[in-house]
Amino acid sequence: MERNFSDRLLQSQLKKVPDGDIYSKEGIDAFLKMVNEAYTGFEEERRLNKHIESLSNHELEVANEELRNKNDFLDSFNHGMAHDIKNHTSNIIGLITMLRKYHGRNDAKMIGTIIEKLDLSANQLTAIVQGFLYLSRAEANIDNQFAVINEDEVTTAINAETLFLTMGKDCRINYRFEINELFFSFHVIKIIFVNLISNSIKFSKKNEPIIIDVSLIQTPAGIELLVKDNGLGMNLSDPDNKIFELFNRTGDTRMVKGTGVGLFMIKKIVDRHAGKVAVDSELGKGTIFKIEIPIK
Amino acid sequence: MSYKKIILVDDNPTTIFYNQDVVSDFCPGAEIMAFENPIEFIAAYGESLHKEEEAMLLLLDINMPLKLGYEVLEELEETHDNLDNLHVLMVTSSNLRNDVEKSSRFLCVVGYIEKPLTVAKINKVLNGF
Repeated sequence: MERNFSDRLLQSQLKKVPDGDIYSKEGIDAFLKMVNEAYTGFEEERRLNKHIESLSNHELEVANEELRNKNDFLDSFNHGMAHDIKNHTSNIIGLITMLRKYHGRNDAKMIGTIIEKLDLSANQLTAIVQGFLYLSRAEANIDNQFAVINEDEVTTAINAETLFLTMGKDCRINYRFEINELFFSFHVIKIIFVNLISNSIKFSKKNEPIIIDVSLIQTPAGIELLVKDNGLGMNLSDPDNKIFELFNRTGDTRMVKGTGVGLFMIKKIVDRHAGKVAVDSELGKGTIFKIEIPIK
Repeated sequence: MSYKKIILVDDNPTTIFYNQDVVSDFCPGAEIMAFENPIEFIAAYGESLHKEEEAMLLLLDINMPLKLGYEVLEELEETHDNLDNLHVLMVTSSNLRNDVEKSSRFLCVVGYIEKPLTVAKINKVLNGF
């Protein structure tokens, strides 16, 4: 997901962009604009359906054309998703074939290696599917299931979901929770932390221990979530750096596996809770994400 | 058809790990070279691999973030007189007609395989059984 879909879609869509060069700024901008427009299309499609009865014939034609365009986009979106998922399932099927072969030979060492790879593939697949589940409106409801937040539960969930990224790496995550009987959505806190921490690990420096400071603080207005890393950092003054847009994986991020969905998703969730996302970053130094969510 | 050297280009390390096992069953004893980065493969071909006299089998992934499979072939074509020492199998995750159309013009492409790779699939494409 993970990673090739946006490129492929970019390529296929560029036919519609005059003189589009595949990785030119114009090409990428045009592509991102298309993806964002089409994403809001989900909402629009519903709106259009609602009002369709009250429209005149001409208006109906226009609305139909609009719907056709949205459908075309959803088609290529589905295709891209299916493609990325298939890559992982192919690996899993292949690894199972290998497992049978080496099981027949009683090769315990090889079997161990294959199991590790299977674990990794299954986790990558889950991460892709989860990202898209969270994007769908149907899942928005679980945002609103509030409970008393327990520090151990949160850190255990984070560690479990980031395990496949931290495996074999020198990675230290320091947690600081200052909460007192916090009644909030466990799901929201988990998904924000998991995505930010995953990014910190993905965009970490090679040959240097990864240090991530994670804090959750209760304020008079609500809660504050902070994730600070010593990673690669980014140049925020670069106008191409639209980190919160769907599938935006420009520049160096193309070297890193990912779906281009994580930050877009965080932004959507935080928006739903009337919160704010702030980011500060410096190339070569690291990145800090700060999220404030008001609680009534 | 047997090869002394087999080259794998795929951006996914798990796919490389699995494909390595398959091709070593297909051609026991063959030297296997693997590249996760297509640009590194292009460099290696320019440096030394183009001098190989015996034909090598290249399994080339089509969808890679840094370069698409057929872009790799385009680049090699531009810098080399011919790619006669490469027998290329394009490996795709979805058997896209589009992908096939885009790479069929390359003389060095001998076939297409849909993932996951198996010895039977390679045999079918290369040897017709």
